[in-house]
Amino acid sequence: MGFLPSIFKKVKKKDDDEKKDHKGLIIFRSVKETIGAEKILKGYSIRVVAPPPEIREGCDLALEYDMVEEIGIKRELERNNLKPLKFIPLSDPSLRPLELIKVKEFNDGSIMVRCGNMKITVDRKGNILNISGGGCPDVPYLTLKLKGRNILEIPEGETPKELGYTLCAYTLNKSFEEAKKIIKDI
Amino acid sequence: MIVAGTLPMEGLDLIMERGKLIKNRIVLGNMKFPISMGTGALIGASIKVHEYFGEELPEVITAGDIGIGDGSLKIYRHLREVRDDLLVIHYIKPKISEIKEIDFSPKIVADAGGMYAAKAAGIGDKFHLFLPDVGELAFLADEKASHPAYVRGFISEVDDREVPELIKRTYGNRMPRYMVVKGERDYIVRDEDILDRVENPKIETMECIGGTGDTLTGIISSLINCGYKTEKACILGCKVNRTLGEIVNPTPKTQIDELIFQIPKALEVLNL
Repeated sequence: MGFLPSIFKKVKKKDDDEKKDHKGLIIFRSVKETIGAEKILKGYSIRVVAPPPEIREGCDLALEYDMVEEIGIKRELERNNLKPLKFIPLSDPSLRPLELIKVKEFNDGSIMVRCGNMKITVDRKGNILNISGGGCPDVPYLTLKLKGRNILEIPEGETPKELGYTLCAYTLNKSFEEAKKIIKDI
Repeated sequence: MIVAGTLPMEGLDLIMERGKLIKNRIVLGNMKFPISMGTGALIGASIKVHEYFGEELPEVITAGDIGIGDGSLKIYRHLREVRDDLLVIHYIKPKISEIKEIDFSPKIVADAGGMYAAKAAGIGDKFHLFLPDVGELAFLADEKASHPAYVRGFISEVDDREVPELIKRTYGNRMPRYMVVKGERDYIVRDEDILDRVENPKIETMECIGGTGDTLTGIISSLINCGYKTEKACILGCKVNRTLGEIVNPTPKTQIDELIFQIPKALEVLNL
């Protein structure tokens, strides 16, 4: 009976491989384009993943998609004037952007929200007091653009994911969205 | 000492100048910049330390970049030949192919994008000092991660008490001889051994002020440049940065320039 688990493992592995066979990656020129495409392709089975190591530069994103949907996706991207660099079969997308959020409240009631390496601090009215962390060049830029403004009044077109270009901006956007949610609920 | 990093100004061409501080502006040649978080805060802190010790002010190599990578590329290309013995690389778009081509003859301190690029390229051991926070330490420890946003869950979910274990793991991935892990408690590391811990004074609000990590990098690098041995500079730098918090008594609204202007006082408090 000892051989059964290994058979199950093989069957499971085969299933996993088959699942992968149906998936592909869409590679874009920049994180900004990837984020834009993610938004446009909301109705499709897509998710943000790391590009394969051989083409990775340290700060990029790719979209995993179901290859069955390729034509529709291509059409949708064309309609929106987005031109991916390439569509490739899925190789090793085990790495996905961080989702873990941590929240800290200070004595004066201010709230700091952290996702990965990016932190945003707001007062209880939603005024952005400070942004910290990160290492990509758009973080200081986003800080200049957002600090001092009220998080509830920032239009969709001026959020970190719309103004930024890198993974740091993408991560900051997660902190931003969570902070906005917290302030709305107060 | 050379400070290399981007500033968030669209279209700003490459600048190579000795930095000065006039009121609350960084002056490079005939251009003025605000002391904001990022490379700006590092430049500000470095100038203050050099002024205090009466040393020649650091040279700044910068270019405008809002995340596209244009200014970063200009800086990388310029770093292929470096005429100084201490280089600090700060906010820059990580680019594996470019970081591999820089001149490694000086001692190189890397933080922010400079550190991300070095780790992603697998060449951390060519550097002298990294300054990660706990989140970035997890990135350095994860051999598969190419950016702090991609750290695998079982590593990223560690808490501050597990930092020593994470430091050990990090050194499996080609790290610099020295490392300062900044956080609630700062760890000073040499060749994977923790040499010292600095945890007082504890100022909780420092964590949310954008630029406190940047000032730490600026202070430590400047102390090295002003003659302190790296180990000593790291320990003192952590103490100086914390003393700034004690002097300013910041709130979550405090801005980084308020802290930078107190650097001479903090150095004095510590009898440096």
